[in-house]
Amino acid sequence: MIIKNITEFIGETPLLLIDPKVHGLKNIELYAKLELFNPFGSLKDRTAMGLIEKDLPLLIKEEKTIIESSSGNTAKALAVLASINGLNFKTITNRIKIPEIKQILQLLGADVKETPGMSECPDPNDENNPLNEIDKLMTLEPGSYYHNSQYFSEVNPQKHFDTTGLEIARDLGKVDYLVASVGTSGSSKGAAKQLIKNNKNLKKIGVIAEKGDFIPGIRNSDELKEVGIFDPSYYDYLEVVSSAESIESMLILNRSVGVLAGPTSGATLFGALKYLKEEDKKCKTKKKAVFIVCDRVEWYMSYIQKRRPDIFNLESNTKDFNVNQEDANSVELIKAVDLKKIKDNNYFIVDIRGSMGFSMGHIPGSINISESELESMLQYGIPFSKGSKIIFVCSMGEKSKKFAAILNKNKFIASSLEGGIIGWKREGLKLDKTL
Amino acid sequence: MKLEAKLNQISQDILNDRDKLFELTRAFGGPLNLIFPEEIRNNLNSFSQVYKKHSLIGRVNFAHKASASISPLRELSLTDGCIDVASVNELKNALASGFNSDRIEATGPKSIEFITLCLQQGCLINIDSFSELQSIIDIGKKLEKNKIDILLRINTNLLTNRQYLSKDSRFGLNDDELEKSISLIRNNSIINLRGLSFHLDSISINEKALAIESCMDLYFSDLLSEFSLDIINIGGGFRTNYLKNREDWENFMSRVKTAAISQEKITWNNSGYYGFHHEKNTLKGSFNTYEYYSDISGPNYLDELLNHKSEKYNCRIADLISDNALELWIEPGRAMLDGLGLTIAEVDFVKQSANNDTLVGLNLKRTDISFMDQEFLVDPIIINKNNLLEEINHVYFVGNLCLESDFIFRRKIELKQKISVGDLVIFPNTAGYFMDFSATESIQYLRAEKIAIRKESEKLIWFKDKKYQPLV
Repeated sequence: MIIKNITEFIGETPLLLIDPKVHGLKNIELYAKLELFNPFGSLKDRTAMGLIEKDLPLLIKEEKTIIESSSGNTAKALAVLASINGLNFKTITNRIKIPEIKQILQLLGADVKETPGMSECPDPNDENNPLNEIDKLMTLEPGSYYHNSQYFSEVNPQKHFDTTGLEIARDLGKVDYLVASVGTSGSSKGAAKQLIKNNKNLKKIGVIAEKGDFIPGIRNSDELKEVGIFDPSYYDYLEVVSSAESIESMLILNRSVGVLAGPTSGATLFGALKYLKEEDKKCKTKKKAVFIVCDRVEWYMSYIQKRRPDIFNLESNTKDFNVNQEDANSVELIKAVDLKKIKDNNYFIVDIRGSMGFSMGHIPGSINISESELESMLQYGIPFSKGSKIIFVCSMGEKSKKFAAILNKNKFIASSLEGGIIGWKREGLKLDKTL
Repeated sequence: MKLEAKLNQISQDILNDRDKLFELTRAFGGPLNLIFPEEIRNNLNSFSQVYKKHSLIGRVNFAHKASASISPLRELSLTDGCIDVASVNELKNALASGFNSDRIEATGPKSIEFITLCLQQGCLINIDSFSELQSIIDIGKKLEKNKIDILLRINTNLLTNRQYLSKDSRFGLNDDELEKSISLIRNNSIINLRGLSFHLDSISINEKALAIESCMDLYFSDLLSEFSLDIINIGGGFRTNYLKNREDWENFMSRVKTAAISQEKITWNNSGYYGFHHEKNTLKGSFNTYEYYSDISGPNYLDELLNHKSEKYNCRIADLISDNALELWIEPGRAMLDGLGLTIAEVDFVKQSANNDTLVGLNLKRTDISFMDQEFLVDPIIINKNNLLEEINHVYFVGNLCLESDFIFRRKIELKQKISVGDLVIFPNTAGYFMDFSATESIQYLRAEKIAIRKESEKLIWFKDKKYQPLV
């Protein structure tokens, strides 16, 4: 397959029929619309294209900066579309919660600005809101920016009416249930409007987040009040899902279906099955349901790690360096004034703080092996020769005791600087800098 | 719109002791502020535990500005806690309560009188401007001081603007003032620069972590390389949670947002939706009042911040501070006063308005219970004078000023019991900022009396706040 422009690859995604063994539905065929195959990784590639395609030639001519409030897939897609057309992209948001997403935006050359957090003593005259900031910028620098808001522009659902919905209708004909997560409501509303043409009894199920929880790309019922194109009455049912449930169902997609989709899609699958399991019992004839798999899992590693550290098993292969308090307390303590007097060449003074701290100030003659480096070295052996005497140094003289105790157990002669670098400074003793 | 208060043990104990409540209100009149000074020890201890957990040393400087009460200071002076004073009279209170000058930090805008007393006593001064530094050197020389400990406060806009649309701040030094201050310090050996300081007016942990990171950039910069700095002061703003249930807060916020769109009346004479409004059925604006519910508050907030990973330095914030052998100083105010007191008012009258809304008149005014006119979004507790009669009632609480705007709450409060003249209306957890920061003596009303309460062998005993004796 030869294509001339990456954007030709947006859309025309496959529909995957999910094996009933995975979901257990007897009368309902469940299809996944695999939007993760879009070239920039998500369903939002369509939305982003829709928002700018009509005006693109003009934007290029006038060298406008594309601006939007997005912290995720829309920003990512707009950033690529802007950059391949030689344009700048700026996003103003208060929702960046996943570092990888921000990194990819920076990688793509986007200008990312966040609105500050709420004040401890809020000023009633200060409207602290990203959309407001965009309005302000556009007024202050007229003609510089292009903003076709995904939250307010009817182009957003229209694009999904024209493409996402049309593709599903073409591939499946009559569809009985459409389940989609709701971020802006563009995809669910647009695709549903298309599918209703074949089946006016189409059930439209939106998946929204629990209040106080966070699922990327999905809003809760309060947050949706700020989305202009969202209309709750359009949905037959709004299923509320938690982040834990999302990740659980995401793992089913990843491990049982082989679809490497992210937590948003997990939420959609969870919401779909919760709703369809009840429907399945009532079905007299075979029915078809479609849910939208919106993006890929790779963007969300830190999000998943934070909520499910058990999956990653980070600690299991490392040696346990827990030292009991008794051993730590029996370590010989060297006073700062005495350490200053030591002239014996057999002593190693090992500073276990980070390299930045060491550069900023350390005891003359000491060497730096940071705590984490020392721990990983100790996995395989001890980086000192037998018979050498070691004095460990840290900032306060606590962590250093731990390492001294580990070495003493292995028949080394190790001690710890009492009070650490802070104690040394308090004695008025000099530190060397290497900065 | 229920917003049920989170109550600590001593608040519950006093609320269960109705005889004591009526006795004290009869003796001192309403409004009356009760203070539980010993609770400050618990709050300090919780912060200290976080320091210990992260192997950090430093100081918890209680921001006196959050409360005018004396009894908590006397209690704190007997611990290893320290104090942050922001005016000459706060400094006098600290000294009179038993703090040595080496446990006192002076912050905020400073008068010559304040600076002079700080220097005479030898308190560390947190410098807010170049001109303040000049005054200090000037007065210090006249006082023949040979060592004046200072921190330099950095304008937070400079610390966060590379990532955030930060607003300008009236506090701290900008780049130019910082450079000028450093060269002034170089040429004046009496000044002993101990470190940098900031206070970020934001509850975002990411933003605070960025401010610490940027502050550390300055420690590593050429500008400061010749100094041996040993302190980083990250200010206060660790959040306080006032509510028992997260659900109450979520329901309240949903209700406000829904009403802002439908224009349903939820405040007296439809006087706004706490910063929200609508345009074409879409919610606009942003919440402009304190968030009274928080999952992570006080010491837990500090813990979360210290656990935050600095991308730039590839380590936790706690390690960034300890590796550089810095003491961590903080300035919590509200968080140190969590659970330290409550405010009692008496019902003076009950009447109906033209729209047949029930108005309950109290013998205090809005400013006696609100911080900078922010509504106290925590429901009061009613103690009936006579027998309790169950009756669902929606009322507005109004104050004792001759002003149409003197509403204790702009929102309507649902009561589950009948309310009549002489009943007590109790506002919980008001010690931080609410009970005295904005109080006035308008139309010759006196400020509320303050009574300190302590538990001794299961009995609640009381002192006048200013006469509180922790050791007796």
